[in-house]
Amino acid sequence: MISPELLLQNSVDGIFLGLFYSLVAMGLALIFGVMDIINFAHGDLLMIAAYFVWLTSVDLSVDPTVTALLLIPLFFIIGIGIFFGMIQPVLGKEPLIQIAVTVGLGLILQNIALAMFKAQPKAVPYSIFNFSYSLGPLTIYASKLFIAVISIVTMYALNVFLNKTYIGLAMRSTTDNREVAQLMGINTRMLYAVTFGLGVALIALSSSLWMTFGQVQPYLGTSFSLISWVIVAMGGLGGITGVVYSGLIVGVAESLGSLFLTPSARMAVVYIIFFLVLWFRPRGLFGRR
Amino acid sequence: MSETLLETRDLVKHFGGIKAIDSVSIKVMEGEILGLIGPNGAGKTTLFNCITGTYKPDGGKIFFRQKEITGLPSHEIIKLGIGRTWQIVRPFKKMSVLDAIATGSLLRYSDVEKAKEKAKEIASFLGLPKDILEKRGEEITLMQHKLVDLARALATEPKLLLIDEVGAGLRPSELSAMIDTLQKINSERKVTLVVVEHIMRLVMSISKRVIVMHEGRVIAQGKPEEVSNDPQVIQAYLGIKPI
Amino acid sequence: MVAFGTGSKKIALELLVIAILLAVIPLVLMGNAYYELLAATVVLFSSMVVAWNIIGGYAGQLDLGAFAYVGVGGIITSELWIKAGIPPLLGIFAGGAASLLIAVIIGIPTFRFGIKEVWYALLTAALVVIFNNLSRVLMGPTDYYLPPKTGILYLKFNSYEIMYAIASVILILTVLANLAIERSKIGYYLKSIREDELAAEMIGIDTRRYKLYALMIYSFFLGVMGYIYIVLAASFSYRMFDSSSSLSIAIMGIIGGLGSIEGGIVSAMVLRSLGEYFRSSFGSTVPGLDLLLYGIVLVIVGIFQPEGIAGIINRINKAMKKKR
Repeated sequence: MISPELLLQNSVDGIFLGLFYSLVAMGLALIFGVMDIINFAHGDLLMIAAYFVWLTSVDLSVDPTVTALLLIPLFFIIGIGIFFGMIQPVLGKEPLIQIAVTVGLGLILQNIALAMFKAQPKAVPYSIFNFSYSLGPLTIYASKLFIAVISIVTMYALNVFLNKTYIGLAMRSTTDNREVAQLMGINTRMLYAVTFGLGVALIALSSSLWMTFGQVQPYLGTSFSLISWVIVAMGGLGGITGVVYSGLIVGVAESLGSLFLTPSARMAVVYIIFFLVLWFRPRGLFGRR
Repeated sequence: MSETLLETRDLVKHFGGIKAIDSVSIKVMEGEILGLIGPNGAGKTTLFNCITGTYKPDGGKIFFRQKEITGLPSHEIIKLGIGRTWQIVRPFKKMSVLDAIATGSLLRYSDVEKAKEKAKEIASFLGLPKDILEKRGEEITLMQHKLVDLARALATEPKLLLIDEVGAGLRPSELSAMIDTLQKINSERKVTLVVVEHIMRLVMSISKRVIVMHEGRVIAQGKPEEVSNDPQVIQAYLGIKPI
Repeated sequence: MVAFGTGSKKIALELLVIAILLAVIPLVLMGNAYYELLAATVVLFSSMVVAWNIIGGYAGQLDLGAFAYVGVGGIITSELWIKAGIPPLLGIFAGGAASLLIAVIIGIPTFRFGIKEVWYALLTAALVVIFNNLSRVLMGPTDYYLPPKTGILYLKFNSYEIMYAIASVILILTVLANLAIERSKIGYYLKSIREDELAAEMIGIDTRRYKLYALMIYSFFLGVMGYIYIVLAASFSYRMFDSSSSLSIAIMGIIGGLGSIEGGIVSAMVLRSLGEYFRSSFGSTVPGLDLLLYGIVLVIVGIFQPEGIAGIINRINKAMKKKR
């Protein structure tokens, strides 16, 4: 019924998708690991960044990949701004309040987008990656391949950063044990700010990549948030590898799922997986904590 | 004549690769005040956490009144009659002191009014001034916190009370008061105490018996004077061999 | 709040609630069906927020799944009427029970596995979406309508004034339930769980069990309210499982002040009315303005006044005491 070629095609596409999802989830995982905060507005920040990309492509005819170069540093700064403005004031307070603030941020972003751009999806009119190769029975889409490659490169760079630079090591040790890290002289406040900024910058990168083939609408954030949460829940705090494996699982599962299920059924399945992961592996499938 | 109230047999707990407690076997006799000392990282708090069910031991068994309690959920262990206080105080910040203590009493007396009465009684037994009762947890001093912590635990009417570094941060006068209070709890309320403490003055003066832990193991047991002269104990604390 | 005796506080609170309700009646009596419906809806939302206070304010769990329970209860009650002829006056208890059952099925593993804080919030948010998708598959995209019968047996009247009265009764009952909880063992236990779950366990509290109790009471009430919601909305569909509404309930509860009944009522009434105003005035040109408002107020409250409206009232009380 389902040809092996179709299965193979979907699997390959799923791997590409999974790598992208890993990148999307990476920012969330980083912030969660270092600061113990799940940013509810994660997906919504991606959505806002995606609108930026769309605007520049429509008004200034700039390709998304070029926009990324501007967007990443810009969103790094925005991320730091959000940290000092919204996160830092609530760091000592009840966890429920901490979460509530990011929920509020997400709502604000969603509805600003809704008010400004309305609900119709917007897409970038033209992308340089509108071609594909054939590799035997497989079709390799240039855009998907490009995204996968950028994702791998970025995550590799992140890995090096976390292992070889002072800031990176500071982040890792804070993830492991906050108190000890502080005792060793790490300025947690600045570290948090940088981590948050980095997390948001990664979101900006993801959004540019997304816009090379996807569309943006105000509720785009919801599905990306969900996928990121599932990945973080599954990946636990197993570092980058945990996130990559989880991302791949989700990507391949979704891709193969599209052969059998409607889009909404697929989303429902992701949610159900989420439940199961939370219940049965609270430390994630690959986690250390 | 007095029975073994609590017993651990070869208790083990690891975290990652580290053995926080390694083959710890101790006995706590009913009615005594047992001191538990040792340098930082010796495993004292871990031992408390295993006894109260916060941690599940990786090996060994725990018996309370001859009944095995290893692996039971915390609330059941507390119900059986073990209580604890906290090294770093854990107040109920937004609740009034009376309500906080009463919450402890509710374990034994389901009626809120009765629980509050019992709470007032415990508060006065411990010498907490009446005007404190209406204050919220976030509004009282450190010494008062420690008394409230004690009161809250006492309210559950434990047979055994685990006291975790209650002396930290207290002034000498407060320390003397605390010593008296602990002795009073033991003699008047018939509560067996295990006191973890770094402040030697406190633990040595009230304990009949002391157990010393170091790097997860028990290295000495005996009367306070015996233990403080034990060369292994001295070495553990100072890190050097005595002459 | 601690200054009042427990007995007089309850009476004072009751009077306050009734006073507010009475004050709104003149609006209702304006004979304007739109305002009457709005008033009924606002009061119903307030009831939902007061019910939410049990899981959010007392137990301290950020539940974002309110409309999962509202939807299940409402739809079960309605279907029992439509398909089996069971009058909603009885049916709402089945609806409430259905929601309670869902809560128990979800709650037992959730609390057993120690899912808290963020993950609890995400899980409950996911619950609404799952129900949304599931019911879309089961019920299709159509809108369903209740039979045209009216009367007390069906808790359904064409007059929104009477529906307003029904909603008010529900609000009073929910408030009474909260008061009963607050003053009982379960209330003390829940509050201590919220304060410090570990410390609560150490005084013998079975935290999982009590969180489950809170969830059960909350879900039952919402299940009952679900039917009234459908009557006010005049139809139902899979869209009843709405994430934004679920979020709004939690947000109103937080803005009102966790653990505060009065705060929740005030917050719900003000925000919901404002939200409705935005929706009707700007809905077509600037959609989502109401949610934007909620988001902004939530962030401001979270950063500057996490104790919410109740906190502001407390500060005013204290300031006034000092002046004497």
